[in-house]
Amino acid sequence: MRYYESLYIVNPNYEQERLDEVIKAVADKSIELGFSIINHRVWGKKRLAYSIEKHKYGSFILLQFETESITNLADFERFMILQKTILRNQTVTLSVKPEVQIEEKPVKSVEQKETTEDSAVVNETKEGSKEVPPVENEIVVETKDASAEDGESEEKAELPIEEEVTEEVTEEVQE
Amino acid sequence: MAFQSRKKFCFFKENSITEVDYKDVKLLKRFITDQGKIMPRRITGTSAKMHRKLVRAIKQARNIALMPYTNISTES
Repeated sequence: MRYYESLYIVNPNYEQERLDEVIKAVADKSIELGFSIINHRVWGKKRLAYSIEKHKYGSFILLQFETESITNLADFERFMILQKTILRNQTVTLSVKPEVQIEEKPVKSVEQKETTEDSAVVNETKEGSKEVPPVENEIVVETKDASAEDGESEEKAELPIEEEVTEEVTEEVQE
Repeated sequence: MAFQSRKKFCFFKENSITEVDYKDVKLLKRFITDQGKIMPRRITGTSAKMHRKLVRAIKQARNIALMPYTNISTES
């Protein structure tokens, strides 16, 4: 068995769904040609050292596979060249069997979950912070009410005295 | 005062690197000039065996647009 590595550049303007379609097409073709895929992952979006078809950036995708037949490699090369979505490709031989790399999607999803949880916590805190001012307002209102009530009660407490005083004055006047 | 020439050494042998990967652009950039030319081994000091591997890796990286053929800008 010989090990090969094919690195190809896809149009950078493609969204994830269309990129997945291209990856699936390449994977299907490689399986059809009898390759056993070891790794097939997106390497990332990188700036090209020189522009290819007026593109300054490109989505690099790495495909590592093993096969015995060399004739199928020519067919694969032909297929890759004919794809309009693939800007450039290069297949090289590997001297050592590449290590199977586990996709980091679950980790990302966990991170996303964490981020969502964090955002939820932030939202909660925000909500809490939002909730807090009304409480303060309520407290303020209550204090205002309390102060108002106190003032009213004081006024009410004071009022009878004034009434008494006024009654006494009226009685004196009548006398 | 006479200038003392710095003793040359093979970078790959010092760091015990046996294979040169064309995707490792950071490493390959050490062995090209500002213009993008491959530096001769009489300057870099790499061993003949590793220099052959290095040249192949740089040319593969150039083909897949990870490294420039030349840094002389013609766009301006």
